[in-house]
This record gives sequence, C-alpha cells and structure tokens, in this order.
Amino acid sequence: MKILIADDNASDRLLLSKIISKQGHEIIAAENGKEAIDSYVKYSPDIILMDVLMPEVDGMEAAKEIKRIAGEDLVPIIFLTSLVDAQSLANCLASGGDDFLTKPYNFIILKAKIDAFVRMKKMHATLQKQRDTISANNQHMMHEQHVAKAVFDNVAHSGCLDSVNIKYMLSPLAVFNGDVLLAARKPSGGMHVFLGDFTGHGLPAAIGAMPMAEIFYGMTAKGFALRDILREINSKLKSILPVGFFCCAAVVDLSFTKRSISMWMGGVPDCYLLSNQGTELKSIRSHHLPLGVLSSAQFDDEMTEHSMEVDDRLYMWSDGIVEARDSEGNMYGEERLLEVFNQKTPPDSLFEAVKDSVNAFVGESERDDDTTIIELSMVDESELEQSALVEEKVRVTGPSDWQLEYELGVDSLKHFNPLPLMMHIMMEVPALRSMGGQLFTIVAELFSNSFEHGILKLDSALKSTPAGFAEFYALREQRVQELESGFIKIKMKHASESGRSGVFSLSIEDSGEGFDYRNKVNKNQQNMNAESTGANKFSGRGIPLIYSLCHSLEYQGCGNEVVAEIHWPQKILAE
Amino acid sequence: MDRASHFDTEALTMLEEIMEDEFPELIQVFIDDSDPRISALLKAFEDQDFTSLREIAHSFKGASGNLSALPLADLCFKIEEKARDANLEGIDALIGAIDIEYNVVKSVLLSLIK
Repeated sequence: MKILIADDNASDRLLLSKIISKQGHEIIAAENGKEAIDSYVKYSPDIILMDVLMPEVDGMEAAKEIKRIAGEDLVPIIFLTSLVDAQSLANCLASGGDDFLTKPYNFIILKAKIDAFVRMKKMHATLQKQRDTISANNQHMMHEQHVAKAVFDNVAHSGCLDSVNIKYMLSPLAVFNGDVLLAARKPSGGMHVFLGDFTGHGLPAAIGAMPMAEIFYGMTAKGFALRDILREINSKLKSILPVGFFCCAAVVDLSFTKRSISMWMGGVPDCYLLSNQGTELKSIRSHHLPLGVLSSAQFDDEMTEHSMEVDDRLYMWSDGIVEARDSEGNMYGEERLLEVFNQKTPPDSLFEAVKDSVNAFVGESERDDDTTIIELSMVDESELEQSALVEEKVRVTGPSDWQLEYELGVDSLKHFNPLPLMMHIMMEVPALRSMGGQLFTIVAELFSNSFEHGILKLDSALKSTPAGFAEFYALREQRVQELESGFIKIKMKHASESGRSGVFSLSIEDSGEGFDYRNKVNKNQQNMNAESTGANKFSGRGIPLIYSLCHSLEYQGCGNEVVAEIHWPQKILAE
Repeated sequence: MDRASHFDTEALTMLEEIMEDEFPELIQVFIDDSDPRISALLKAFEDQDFTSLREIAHSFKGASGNLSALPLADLCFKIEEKARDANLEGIDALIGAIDIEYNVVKSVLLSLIK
C-alpha cells in the first residue's frame, strides 16, 4: 500500500515514515496541506495520515478537497493531532476524516490502525469491483431482456387479438411474464384463441411461448384442427421443457357459423360463459392436465362443446387474477370475481368492471403473478375486419406456374388427412392466401365427396334425418376399417398472367364408380337460384355452395372425376 | 542530569528501538527544526502575532511530545493556549522557560547519539 504522510514537522514525518515503512508500506511525504493534495492527485495513495494544523492549507481543508477529488474511491484519512478536546476531535471526523491519532503517538495503536485501514481499503476495492461487475452484468441483462421482450411480444401477444370480439388485459409485471395470449382466424372461418400460463416467471417462463406460438399460428393458418394443434404443442413442450415446467392453457375453437365454441382446458381456473343478455352464468371447469406434462400417447385432446349466441361472452384468465394479492397479502380469490359477475353489471362494461375490481384490490402493492384476462364475444363473422386475413400487398413472390399430381393409396386414405398439406401448397401462392377460407371449403367438400361417396360408397340420403346422420357416420367408420382397395388422385395446377390474374384448377379423381352427374348436376343448376329443398335437395354433394365459390365446376368421366377452376382476382361475391 | 524529570524515559527507549540506526537522524532533524523556534517565538511575541505564536508553539509541542520530552511539550501547550486566547500575559516568561528546558532536552538527546 502507498501511504501519504502530511506533517509540517520534519521529526514527526521521519518518525512516522520509519514506523510505517517497517510495516512494509511505501511512503509519500508532504510538508503541508497543499502538498498533500498535489501528492494525492499525483500518486493516489491508499491511506493518508494528515496533521491537522499545517501552514498553507490546513489538514481539515486538505481532507475535504481530497475526499471531493476521490469521489467514490475510498481514501481513509487519519488525522494526526495534539489537540485533545472532544470538539476538536469531532471536527476532524466532520471534515471527512475517518479516524484520528493523538500525539504523542502510541506506536502500537498506530500500527493497529494502519492495519485496520489497509484491511478496509482492500475490502472496499473488492466490493467496488464486484459492484461494477454486477452493474455491468445487470445492464447487459436488461438490454438483452428488452430486445428479447420486443421479439416475445411480437410472438406471444399477437395474431388477431385486436378483433372486435376480443377484449384483453395483460399485466405489466416485470419485463417478461409467463402468460401467452394468441388468437388467429382460421382459413375456413372461425377463430382459434389460446390463453397460456407457463409455470414460473421471467425468461424461463417466456421462452417456451416462442415455439408454441409458432405452432399455433402456423398450423391454424394451414387449416389444422385445434385438436391436432394441441397435440403438436403438447408434444413439443413435453420434449423441450425441463421436468416441472409446463403450460396451463384454456383454448377455444370459435365457430361464428355454428354459434358455438369447442374448449380444451388444462390446469387453468374455471372460465365463465355469460349468455342470454348477461342473465345466465355458466362456469366451465378444466378437465385436463396442463400442456407439456403428458406424453403424446397419454394426451387427451377431448374438447367440450358450448353453444354461444351473438353477444354471449366467454371469460378466461390465468390464475394470476385469482391469486392477485393486496398490500396485506390477501388473495383476490374466486369469490370476489364471482361477485363482480353477480352485480348485474351490463355485459358491455363487465370486462372493465372485472379489470377495475382487480386493480382496485391490488392497489399499489407489487403484483406477484401474471394477471391476464380475456373476454371473447360471439358476433356475426361479417363484423370482423378482413384485415387479419388479407396479406400485405407488397411485391408478390412465391410460386405462380406449377402443377402437381398426388395420389393417395388405400393405406393413406384410411389414416391420413391430406387437407392441411393441400392447403399448405395452395397458401404458398400469395394471391390464393386471401381466398384461403373459400379454397378450404372447396377442397374439403370435393375431397370428402370423393372419399365418402366414391371410395366408401356411402349414400348421403341417409343424412336427411337425425337418426340417419348417426348411422351414416357409424357406417363410415366401419367402411374405413374394412377398406381394402381404392385411390384418390389429386391434381393441382396454377397459372398466372404477369402476376395480375391467375387460374387455379383442382381435379380430384377417385377409383369409385362415379354417378349420373349429367342428370343430377343439370337438375341442380336449374335449381341453383331457387331454394333447394325437399326432394330437389342435392344432398351430400354440397354442389350448390361449391358452384357459388368456383368459376367453373365440371364432372368428367363416369362422374368419378371433378375439376374445379378458381380465377383471381375475384369479382366481389354476392352474399 | 535527571533524565526522568525531562523525558518519559520508557517512551524514549522505545523510540530508540523503533528508529534503530535512524535514531541519530531523528534527533538531528528535531534539533535542526527546533533551534530556530525559540527566536521565532520571541519575534512573534514582539510582533504580537498570535497566529504565528500559536502555530509555532503547536508544532513545537507535537515534535517534542513525539520525542517524549513531555515537560517541554507542556510549556509549548501553555503558550498555544494563551495565544489562542490572545493573552500576552506571562508569555515572555514561558518563552524563557522553554529556552531553558529545550537546551536541557537537546543536550540529553545529543548525549544519546554520541
């Protein structure tokens, strides 16, 4: 250590220098306060011994100046004084001194004090170094978290959450939370909504959301059923999350046309379904284990069905709402939540009422969980803005002139649903994306016609009564089991003229016997604009709808091949 | 010469041990520093310069104290106090006493380093 000795007495300096250099320290000597300050700046000594009364600048003033220059650095200053009254000694400390030593010196105490300050100095240096390291690490981490948070928000709270039928609240807790809110329009119409709550908080909780959101949006856009999406998410989370980490979830498949929802709930609090102008309240209970717990073989994708009329509302939340604490640590609890629902609040302002109630309860206290809540209303699909489905009108890229032929043998027909794959191929063409719903309907209808009627030889006349409907599906199941031969050949072709217009044609041929399409189709075409009812109903082949969606639809061969053509850009379709 | 009536002899012995071969140098530095102090005190007294009186006496007190010449340090302290109170009374007598005491201290110290 370097020790500065400032004393105007040559004999005192000599004495101190001798004692301290014997302790193994390096000595810097100064004869007055001014020299002491200069020496401090020049040599940055570790400890300073300073006479109080000195010519030029006295010791107390020099101490103040040195402390000012030192800033955050610790420079212990020990005053040397022959003053003995309490006030003078107190003044030494008040002016920034750390200790004092009275003359005549007691050599043993002098040594002990020097040793003590050397220890303090070393400790301080270690602390300062650690503090700087921590501060640098913290800064680095905060920066990373902000960047990651921006990415996370783009992934985890996105999709069509701004739709008119959705209200939601996300808690601002910390930088990250483990809550995920996803919503996406289905190509076939309808909507998938996903509320997830990962165990834990912060980055570890958020990280699982990334692949999950990718699967959710990707598979929804390609037309996969929600059950398949859940299976995929479950298996993904199971394989990537460590043991003990999982994702509680409430997942909804909302159909605007059927006015119903299918729900899957695992590990989340009860959801509430408010119907009949807010007069009926039904709670829906979770029956499954959270996602990422069970293996694919054990995973149960069973969903519950609930009908929902226009203006009915579904409320879903993460357990953060129920477990939100006030400043005294009491939990908000389900009873308080139910109370809000029972206050006969008009349904339109119920969401805000729940939000206000939770916020008022929690007050200024720190939220200790992620509080996410979403209200999902049934509306007419026409109320939803199309923007969610319309792709950005930037430069059109992707395949434009292509064709393919895809033949499914009997084994594939029994076990494989080719619709997502077909949708995927079509959706690679930018111009076709905005027609996804329509294309899905066409492909689904024509494929199931070929499969059910051509391959399985089922008679759709059965479906005209409720009992027959059940029989139809029982028979279908049985015939799929027994199926031994057959194929379906799918041909797709797309051609475009300079990117401004194009034609997509789809042909589906099956190994079945066909049908008398000349008669039936003609008859049907005549009835196109009239209500197809009773005996004229073109049951099963769903053709009137398909006609309205295609530019042309033709049966060929013996009726075992159908060719649909879709042109774009489309004329505005009459509703 | 009765060393004990002018020094804390125990402390002086300790000082000698600590300083080892630099003890003579310490004595020499002390004497070189202190010799001019008597006349400096007299001059400050004649000029009625209390600040200088106080500073010189304080400094002299510290130096002699550290060499364990406690009676000398006490005399210096008395001047320091009077100067602080701007009281000239008896200062000339004190300076005279310091002159005598210092010369004794000096000869004892010089005898130690012969």
